[in-house]
Amino acid sequence: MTQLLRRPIAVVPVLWMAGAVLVGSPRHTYGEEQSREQQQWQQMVDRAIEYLRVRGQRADGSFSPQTGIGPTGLGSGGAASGRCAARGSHGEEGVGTT
Amino acid sequence: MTQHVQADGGIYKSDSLHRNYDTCIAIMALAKANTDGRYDEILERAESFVKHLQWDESEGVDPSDVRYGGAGYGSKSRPDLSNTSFLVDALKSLGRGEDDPAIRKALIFVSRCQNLESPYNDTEFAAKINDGGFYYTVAAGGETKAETTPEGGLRSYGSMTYAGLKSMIYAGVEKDDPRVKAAVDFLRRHYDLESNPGVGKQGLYYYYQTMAKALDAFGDPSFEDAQGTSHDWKAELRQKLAELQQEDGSWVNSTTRWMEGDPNLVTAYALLALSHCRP
Repeated sequence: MTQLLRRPIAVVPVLWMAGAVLVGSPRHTYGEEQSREQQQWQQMVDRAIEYLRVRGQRADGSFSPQTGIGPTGLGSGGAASGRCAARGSHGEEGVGTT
Repeated sequence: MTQHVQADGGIYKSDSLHRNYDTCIAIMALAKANTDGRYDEILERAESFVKHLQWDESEGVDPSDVRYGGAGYGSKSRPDLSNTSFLVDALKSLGRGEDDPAIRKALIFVSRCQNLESPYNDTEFAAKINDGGFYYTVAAGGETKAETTPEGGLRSYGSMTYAGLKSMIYAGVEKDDPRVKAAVDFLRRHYDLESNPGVGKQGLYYYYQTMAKALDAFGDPSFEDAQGTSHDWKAELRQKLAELQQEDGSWVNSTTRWMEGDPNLVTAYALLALSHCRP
């Protein structure tokens, strides 16, 4: 019986500490979430550009040339829009070189 | 791309059947790459080329003609909203704004592809559905990629409605204009990341990039649907694209219409969409 009465009292500091963590540092939590989302966004973009660079782009700089230059323009424009730096050896004609 | 600059100023492969699309897309890409002015001359000639393709007085067409202001696949083809929205995008990438004559003409055509009877739209289709959405083209007897009604109405669909909204905003139409309000109301009723409303999975990634551009241009960080639910559309679109990305980093649409079976094209669409929803 004594133990049962003591248990809620023992729980108080634990709850207080948890509350302090949750309430006392909301900016930290929000910042972490922002950072996680930015990281996820960057990873998605990097993986996509890597795909286009390694598997999509031909040596002459084109993408799917059988359908005209549309995919080439969209691919390079999309990569440039993602503000990704130039990579690889395709130089001026490569993706993300702007 | 620069290897395909043609004598007429267009940027396309000589056998291309979509010279307007090709040149507009090339303009947007080269404009981004033109930080040191190296493509100035190519861009100037390309701009002249796409403006020449636009239906206007140079084709003997006046503003009373439903083709007026629109762009099609090439010089002789009927105009459509998709090609016209790419024309507006390309001109915007060159810094042209609402005062540019070609953008003003395009707005006339765009307004007529909306299911909305207004002072800007008195075509035979304007009042048949009147839901504020957009369809593919008012020209050549009218066409939608969605369904037609028994009365001859051309059903609106998602990608064209975002394309119409985006083009109107780029042309300087304000948020309180009835055309913008009606388009946004349609999109609130059909807020959807699973499909391109009206046509299912067809053109889904074209839809995503058009949606992202349009909502970014609209400027509100959240978008409230018709049920009153507020959507952090950037976060939701990022999440959807994360779910759909393939192991190899690409995206591809299993519904392959409009070339969306090509992972290069679709991955490019996804990248363009992501560029408008950065956290």
